[in-house]
Amino acid sequence: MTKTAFIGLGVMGYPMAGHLAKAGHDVTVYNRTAKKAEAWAKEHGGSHAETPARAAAGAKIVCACVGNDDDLRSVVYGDDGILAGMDKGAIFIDHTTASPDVAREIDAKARDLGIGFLDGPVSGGQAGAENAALTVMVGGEQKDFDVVEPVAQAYSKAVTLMGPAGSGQLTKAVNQICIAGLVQGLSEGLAFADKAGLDAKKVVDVISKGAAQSWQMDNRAQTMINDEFEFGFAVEWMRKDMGIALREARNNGALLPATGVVDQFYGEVVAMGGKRWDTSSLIRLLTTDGLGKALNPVAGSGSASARRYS
Amino acid sequence: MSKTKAAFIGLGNMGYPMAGHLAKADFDVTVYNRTVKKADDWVKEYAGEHGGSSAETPAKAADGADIVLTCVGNDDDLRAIMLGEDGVLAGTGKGALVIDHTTASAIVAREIAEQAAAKGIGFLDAPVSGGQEGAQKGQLTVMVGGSEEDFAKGEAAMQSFAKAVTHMGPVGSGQLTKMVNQITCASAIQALAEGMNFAVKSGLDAHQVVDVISKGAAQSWQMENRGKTMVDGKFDFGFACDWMRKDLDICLDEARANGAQLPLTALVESFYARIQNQGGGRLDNSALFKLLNDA
Repeated sequence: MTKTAFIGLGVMGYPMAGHLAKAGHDVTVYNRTAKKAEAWAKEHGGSHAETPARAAAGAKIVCACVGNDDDLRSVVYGDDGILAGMDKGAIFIDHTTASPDVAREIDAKARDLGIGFLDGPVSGGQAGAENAALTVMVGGEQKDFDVVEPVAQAYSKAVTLMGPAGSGQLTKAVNQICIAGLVQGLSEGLAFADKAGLDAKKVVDVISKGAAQSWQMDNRAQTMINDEFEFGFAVEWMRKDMGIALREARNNGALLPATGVVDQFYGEVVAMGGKRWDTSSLIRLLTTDGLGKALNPVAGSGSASARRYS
Repeated sequence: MSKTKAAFIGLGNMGYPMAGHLAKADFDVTVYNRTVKKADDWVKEYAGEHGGSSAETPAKAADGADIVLTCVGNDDDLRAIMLGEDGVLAGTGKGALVIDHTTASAIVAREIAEQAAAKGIGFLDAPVSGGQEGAQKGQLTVMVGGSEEDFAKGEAAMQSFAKAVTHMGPVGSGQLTKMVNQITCASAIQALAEGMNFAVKSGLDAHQVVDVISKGAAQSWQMENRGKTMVDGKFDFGFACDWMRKDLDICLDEARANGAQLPLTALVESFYARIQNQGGGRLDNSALFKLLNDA
């Protein structure tokens, strides 16, 4: 049993902290909205504290999972912050998807205080958090990783040390870069199939066996065809993550032409009122009203060939 | 039992082994290839054990065949072997079936189907995916457009080199399905290239990144089969940028006609053009990484 603290009980943090408690750890939680923390303590039998500092006091491992860089700084710094409460020699692992810059910044401040720091963004979404099946991408020092890894296994299927502080965030950025362009390609493919008069479902069945296959095709093509977007990973979160990747790329010199374009498309989805929609809603920009219901089909719609020979 | 007579026109990287599988599946195959030497090689390799012969023109190869299969480079190559006095349609008998495995436009598929129909010949457009390896192993995916009746007639021949043969709809539907495949692949490869290059520029171990993120929502066939090779600079294999660009151009032409918007596909097509201009047309289509990494 390890004395731990968990800061931030959102859709990810709440079940993650729950898995820690179920694994037998002594967990103290903090949440900005105290009601959530009280509910968690009632459900899991741990305790809750009034500030991040108090939650972190005496803990060997402190976990956090909040919204963005600013949220993170607000729970980490200041008199009531995590670092103020933590014991020397304890380790702080942050599961927020945040910038590599803030990870390096917190790492430097933590080390000045004799506290270990790991950046450990996760993938697998809410379902992964609830089912203890997250993938954790970790940046930091091996000795800190070795202490935290067995504890983080409580909510994970894989916990991997990727390199020094910031490397977890950089790996997560690669993940999001690979997804963004791919989802746009899937959207263009499905919208094209529809405009061409094909049965999009049947097309997916055929092409998902080969080089066009992807997790997104296997898990999102059908919902895209059904025009279902009220679930999954929200566009506003994806935009936040892509902003991180694009800023970091400006520093490290990596070109991200497709990612940049898709980020703009997500901006359009937000403008359409879709900030809470799943990331697969990019197809909404190409179909307006769902597949098979295009508002403005071109005159004599159908394939070029059909028009030419009809 | 007499063998079904088949002809195979076009013995390139794909056609050569496809015709071989057809012969092994007990079809009586006559082949034609523009470069005669390839046809001679094919006969030497297969005719001894399985029978088969070669002909001097597509028309002669097609003469008397129940099924004529073709697999050439592009729309122009296809017209060249199909039409005219020496073409497939001139030699194919009434009631026979022509199956084209070229990745070509839906327009040329319709055009040839119409001319074939005028002569009482059936036609299927049946582009494949699975690459050279799939052709050699008889594991291609075949996407077929045409009538139900013609599909039923041609399915057994196509099964000889395929793991899946699917009827997608009327003539042109095979080509349109292949286009969806290429549209989807193009952006997936570009996204992967950007991710891998970002990883390298960030100082990460890109192989380890692939191992970690390919377990989740970023997973793709391209990531599993090209993520590490692109980082290692291996591009002398696979599906050439020249071919990918040809296929994307067909997609963009078709989209201009059917009203589909392909903003990212168009961008990636321009990257393939740049690779060609730099002399990289023969490199695998994952060479999009090179464009970013060399920059």
